[in-house]
Amino acid sequence: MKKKGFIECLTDFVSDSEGLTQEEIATELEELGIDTAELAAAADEIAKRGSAVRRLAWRDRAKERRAEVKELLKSKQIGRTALELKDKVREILMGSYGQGAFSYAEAYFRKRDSFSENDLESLIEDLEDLNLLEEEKDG
Amino acid sequence: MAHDRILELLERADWKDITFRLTHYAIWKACRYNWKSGSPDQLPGGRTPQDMALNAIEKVWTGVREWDPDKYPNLYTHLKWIVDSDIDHLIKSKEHDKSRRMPETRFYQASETPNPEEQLIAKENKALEDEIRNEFYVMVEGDEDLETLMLCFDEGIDKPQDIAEQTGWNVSKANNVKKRLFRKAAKLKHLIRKGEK
Repeated sequence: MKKKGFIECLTDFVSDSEGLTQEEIATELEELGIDTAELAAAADEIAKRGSAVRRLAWRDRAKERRAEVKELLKSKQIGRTALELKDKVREILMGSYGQGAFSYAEAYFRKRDSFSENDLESLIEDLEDLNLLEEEKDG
Repeated sequence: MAHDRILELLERADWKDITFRLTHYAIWKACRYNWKSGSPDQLPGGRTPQDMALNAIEKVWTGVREWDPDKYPNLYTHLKWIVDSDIDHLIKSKEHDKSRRMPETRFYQASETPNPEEQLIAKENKALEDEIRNEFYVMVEGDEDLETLMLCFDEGIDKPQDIAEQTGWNVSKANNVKKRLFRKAAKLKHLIRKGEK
């Protein structure tokens, strides 16, 4: 392997900030004429905006998924005796019990074409075993 | 990884620290090249190295350059790749004249011969590199550690671990020498800018 040139070595060495504290980097940036307060504020603004956009996108995706799940519930054959359990499962699928329970239940429903009362009981037992129904109680 | 988990990691990141380090990285990365504007602070499209750093951060937040923490756990490294890629893109852009690139090692295959233009550029770059090297030596003269560091660069050694191994220093000392070099940052940047026309 051939060796790197002097300029490459010099710029690669100085561009690596490992071993330097944030204060030391900030001092260097200030010496190079950069307003670090302004720079940090700009990054903070990007993070706030990005976070808001990502949260909104996540809510939109969750809304779409819940709509799909409602359709899924409608299309499955569920025994009349299981209607009360179905209400509870619907709440789970609407997100009332948190994301973990929602994802688990959604996956469970997608795997099957029809549901007996036992299937719905089994689903709720699984969720209880995994402590996924705790979220509602914990607020 | 799930989107909500990525969001959580992004929200927990120390953006002030990342931004300072990434800007520092972009500044010195830009210094490596000779820009048509005549300054590594003025990149094509009216951008600055700070803009390159902030744009990389924005690309991660907006998902334009999605971060996959499972594949690449270090967010800062991922951001450095984006800066590298974006600067490389600027170098190749029509706005930038490629022939005025800063000295950089190029390895020719045995069967490959540089054309006359490349030979001329290589000759000019070599002269420029020698000039910068000599001025760097004047800048650090009398500081034994920085002189040793310069010898390492001459040998193509630039990683603190490798420098420590070659010089008998520990990595901590290599990093302390780097701090001393940073105290000359403005002078160093001015020196590297000699290559600008």
